[in-house]
Amino acid sequence: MTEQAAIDQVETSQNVPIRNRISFRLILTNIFLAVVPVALITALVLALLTNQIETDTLSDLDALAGQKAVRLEEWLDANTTTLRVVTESNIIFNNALTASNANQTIAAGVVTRYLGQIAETDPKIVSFILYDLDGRVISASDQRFIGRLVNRQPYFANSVNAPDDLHIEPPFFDISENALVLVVTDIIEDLETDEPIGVLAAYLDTDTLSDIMIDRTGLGETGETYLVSGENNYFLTPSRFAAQGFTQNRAYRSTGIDSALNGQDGESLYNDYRGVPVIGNYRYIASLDSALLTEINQSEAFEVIETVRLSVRYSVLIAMAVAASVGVWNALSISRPISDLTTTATRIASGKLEERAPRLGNNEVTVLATTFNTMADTLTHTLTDLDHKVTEIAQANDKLRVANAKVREAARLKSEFLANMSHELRTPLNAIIGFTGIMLEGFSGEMDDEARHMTSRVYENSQNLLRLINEVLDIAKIESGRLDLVRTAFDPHALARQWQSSVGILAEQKGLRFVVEVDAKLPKKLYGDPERIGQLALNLLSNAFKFTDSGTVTLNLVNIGKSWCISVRDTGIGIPAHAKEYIFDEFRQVDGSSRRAYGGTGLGLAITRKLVLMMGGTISVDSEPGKGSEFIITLPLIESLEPRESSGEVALPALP
Amino acid sequence: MKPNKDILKGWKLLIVEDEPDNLDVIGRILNHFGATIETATDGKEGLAALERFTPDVIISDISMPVMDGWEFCYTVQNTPAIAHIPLIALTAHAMLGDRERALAAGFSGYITKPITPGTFITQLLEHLQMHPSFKDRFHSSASQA
Repeated sequence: MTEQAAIDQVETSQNVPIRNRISFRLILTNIFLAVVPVALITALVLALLTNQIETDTLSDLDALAGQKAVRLEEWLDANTTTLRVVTESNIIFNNALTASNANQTIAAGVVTRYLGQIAETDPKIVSFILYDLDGRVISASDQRFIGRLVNRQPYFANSVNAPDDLHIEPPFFDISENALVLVVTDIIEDLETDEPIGVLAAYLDTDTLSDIMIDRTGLGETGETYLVSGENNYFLTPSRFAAQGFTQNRAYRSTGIDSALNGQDGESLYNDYRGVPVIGNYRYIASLDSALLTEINQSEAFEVIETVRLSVRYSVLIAMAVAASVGVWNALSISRPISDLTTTATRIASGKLEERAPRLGNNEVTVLATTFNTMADTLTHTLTDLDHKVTEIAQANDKLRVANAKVREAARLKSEFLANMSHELRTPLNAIIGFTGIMLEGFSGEMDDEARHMTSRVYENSQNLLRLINEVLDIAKIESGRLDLVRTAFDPHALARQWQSSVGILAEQKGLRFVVEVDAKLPKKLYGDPERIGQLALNLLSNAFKFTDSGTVTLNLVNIGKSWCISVRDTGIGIPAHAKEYIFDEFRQVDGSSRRAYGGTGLGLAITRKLVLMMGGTISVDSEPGKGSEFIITLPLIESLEPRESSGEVALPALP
Repeated sequence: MKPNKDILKGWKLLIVEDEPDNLDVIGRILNHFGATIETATDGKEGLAALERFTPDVIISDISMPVMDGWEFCYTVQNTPAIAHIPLIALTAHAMLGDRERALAAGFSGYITKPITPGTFITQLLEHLQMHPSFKDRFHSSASQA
């Protein structure tokens, strides 16, 4: 795996969507936790505060309104009292109302002077008017009124019909005077008959009324009290926001005005005559047939709420900022070590094994980082070990390769050496055996017995030497795997006859009986390597003749199912039980001592066994010491060149 | 069982062998049985001999200087005039598998050294009798004897 591929496989923290990141979630959570309680508490506090402020304001307004009403009543009381005191001087009014024309003028003059004096001393009263029941002004503090008729004035009818003599006429606007008029009247009775004979009216100073209302102490910036006439809804006293409505065609209405003029006292939140939301107290002043309104703009009343709301908004913002900061700090303290860990892991994955995660703080992530580092240490150690081992294995492999090459070279040299040895040893032997053979055959004339004996010794020893050479070379060749078996057709019956003629001379020489028995069932055509099979049979036969001094050697060829057997049985010295294990090993004879009675290299059986195994056969021996031995070679019966299925009993050799 | 002394009478053989002692042994045996022989000490000499002498059979060693038996065999087989002459290898290459190599190379017979007069003549006669072109000849010579 390349480094780049390793890096590509690691999911870095940059790949995580922002909404999934721990830091983002922690910040969000912190803000949520900080803001929600603040918002809830603020809402609750604001609701309570609003309620409280409303209650308080209404209570304040009620108190103020009550105060105003009391002041109005007091003012009216004071005026009516003054009027009553004045009317105590009944006698002069009787004179003015009842005297004859000549006297009346004098009496009226007295009253006029009297009223003028009183009007001057009492600033609350603008002027007095004395009129008879017809509405003719008899006398007045202001002489301009004298001789006028007041029977068209709104208060006239009410004043003459007042049930308890005293009457207060609600304020009205006197167009001729272009002024707001408030009149209080008292009936003058005849001193003798107690019958009403005239009315004394006092024009009150409505500026005082305005002064009472304009006194806006405790009403803040927008609060006001004013009187609205029940006659046609105009202002009796100046408003803070509207021109004093002394014109008849200006009608002011609002929930408060309407309710009050309907005789209902109360307080509530409503829009005033301007349409501005106010908190208002309204009550009906019956003596003036007016609505007394005490109002304050809600915006002002609830200004505190606004202030609180504003400061709460800042508080929330600050809380959010603090919460976010704490969240960021918290998140970083958690996510940065994780991020560092991820970075480290990525680097390690890309092969930088020496990288280690920083260990900040002392929390679970620190433990994780420590554990991770331990793991990385282990990994590094393991990889280092692995590297060492791989190097060692590679070195060992190199050594093995070299050694293997040396072994193969050695084997090749050995094989070459053997081939040369074989050739070089045979060449002189050929001359020795050839010449001695010619001599013994008598090609070059007859020898005497002595010479013949010695020549035959040379000949036989040469043959022994040749056999030894052959066997040594054969086994070497077999062991180096250079022997190739052929597979050709042969007739086992003919082979048996051939073997019989080859070794028949040995039987003759030792005076032994040689019996050859061939199973008639044995096919006449088999496939295999007849040369090698002959080598096997001749090996066994020459051994049998060698170790048998008297009796019979029997060669037996038998067909048993899918295999065939070559058995060689003798009546020789036999093989001890313990020796059966090793007689097929190289260079082993039963008697290995230097004084042994029988010659030979001990290679014959070893070669035989190896060849049998190469042919896919088996070899076994059955022997009883002193009575004889039987060697049995079992070979697979191959009747055609087509490879057969393995019989299971005998495995086929691999063909060359 | 011994072969007739004149069994090879009338046969012409070329022997190619570099070792003088071996050449001597072979020559003596073949002469004994009545054969006419020519000798050469390597393949090249053998080819030269074949130009003046046409044998019935060539008996050739394999390991020789100048031109060895393999090359000699190959050349004979690829020379139309003499390609029909059977070659018998007589060699000290007697390791397992050497026979197969020789037969594969084109030798029609293979006799290993060392030889004795009896085994050599027996093997030689076997080869000659097996060879298709000599079957009739042996029949007639056998009947003559």
